[in-house]
Amino acid sequence: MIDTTVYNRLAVDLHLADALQFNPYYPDVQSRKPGKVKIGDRWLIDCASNDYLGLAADSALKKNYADTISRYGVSLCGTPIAAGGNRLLKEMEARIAQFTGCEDAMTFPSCYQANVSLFRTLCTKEDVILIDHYAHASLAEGAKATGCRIMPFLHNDCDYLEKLLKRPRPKGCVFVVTESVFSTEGALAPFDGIYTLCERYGAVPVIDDSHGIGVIGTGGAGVLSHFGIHRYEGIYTASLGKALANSGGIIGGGKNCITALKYRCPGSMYSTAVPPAVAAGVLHVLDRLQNEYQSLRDTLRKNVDGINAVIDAKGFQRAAGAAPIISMKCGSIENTLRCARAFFNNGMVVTPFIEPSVPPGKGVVRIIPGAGVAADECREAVSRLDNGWREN
Amino acid sequence: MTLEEKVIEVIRKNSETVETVPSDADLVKKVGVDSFGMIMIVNAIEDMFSITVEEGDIAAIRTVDDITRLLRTKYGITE
Repeated sequence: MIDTTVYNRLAVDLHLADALQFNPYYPDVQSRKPGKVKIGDRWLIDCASNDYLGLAADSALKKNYADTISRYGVSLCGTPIAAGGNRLLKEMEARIAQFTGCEDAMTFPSCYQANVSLFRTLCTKEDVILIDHYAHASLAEGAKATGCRIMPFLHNDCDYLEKLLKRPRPKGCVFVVTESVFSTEGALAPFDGIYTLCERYGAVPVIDDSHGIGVIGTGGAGVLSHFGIHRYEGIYTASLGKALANSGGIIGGGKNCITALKYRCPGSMYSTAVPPAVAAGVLHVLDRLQNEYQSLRDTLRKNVDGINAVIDAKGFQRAAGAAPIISMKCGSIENTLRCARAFFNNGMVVTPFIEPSVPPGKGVVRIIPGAGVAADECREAVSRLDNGWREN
Repeated sequence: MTLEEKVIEVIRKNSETVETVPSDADLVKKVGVDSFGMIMIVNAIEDMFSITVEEGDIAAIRTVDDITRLLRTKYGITE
């Protein structure tokens, strides 16, 4: 007899979603066009996706996918080290390295997988990982899986980090791990200061730029450009499925590091390669950013500023992050879900973050009004939001 | 400053959000300390008292009272 009691460990309490008759997670998306998403029979303003520049449903990008698929097929059905390797992937990796300011880069099916695989491949038990308290789950899980000592530092606190770096050095290496843009609040890491500390104390910086690439830096080049860091000697990771409007993730770094990871990192070697159409799609977006970035970025900023003005006028609280992410403070799990439901009823999809993604009682609704959404529709949807979601 | 006050101060200094810490409150369930937060607290206590807390002891910590009890009984720290 199969022991099915094991599944009881995974029980999820959905009573609140049932009581509210609203579950924002795993939406039933049926179609998508720039700035809009169809859920059920309703077209809604899409402020839940990370399509910052509004390119993911763009007709030219879709045609690029179709053309590439007609040449290569949907998938090469192989790992990048074997049958999945292809010219487009190599070209995309070289371009993305150049774009972000890294010497070389390699691709993964997702940035989550890149982050988890990176630490498991690179770290030994004699190393120490200093990690921002609020770093993304993929970085935390990757660090925990190494078995080496983990020392978190207070969120974005360089003084705290320096105290840890001043401790006696371990036998192995010291890694300093953070994100460029923290996606639940829109705060930027003080990565210039962190990088300086890494240089001063001989540590290895690891920066996840998933919400920075295509959003900050000159031409959308990301965090290294934003902080004017040249000849970066650390490790860089990023998602290709956010502002770059495709899917997959990358690790960037020095040539020696990337070559070694290509032959040693199971998360890449044993995963089906990112399809050629995705590689071509990223190349297409990078080409377009050369001419269109500033205009798209200005639209994104204008959308954010417009919604922020309405939120402030209505007296709602929001985090004061510098990135184009609106994080509306809701508090309890109940209020956060009610707020997301109110937005949904007003024709707008947003992302509610509840514990454990945020500290208890610190729930937020995240709004990303990408360059593809209509600013007036967004402001209208927010302006119709009343206080009804605040029930406790 | 009593041992309990010192521990509470460590918890507050090693958290972005914690403001009040009742000595008998469950740090995870009631105060909102997560797994990384607990590591920061233990690291800071180790530094403050020049001790190394064993992993098994960390897993047993639920409250401020647990920490002060551990410091008194296992490490002879009373203040």
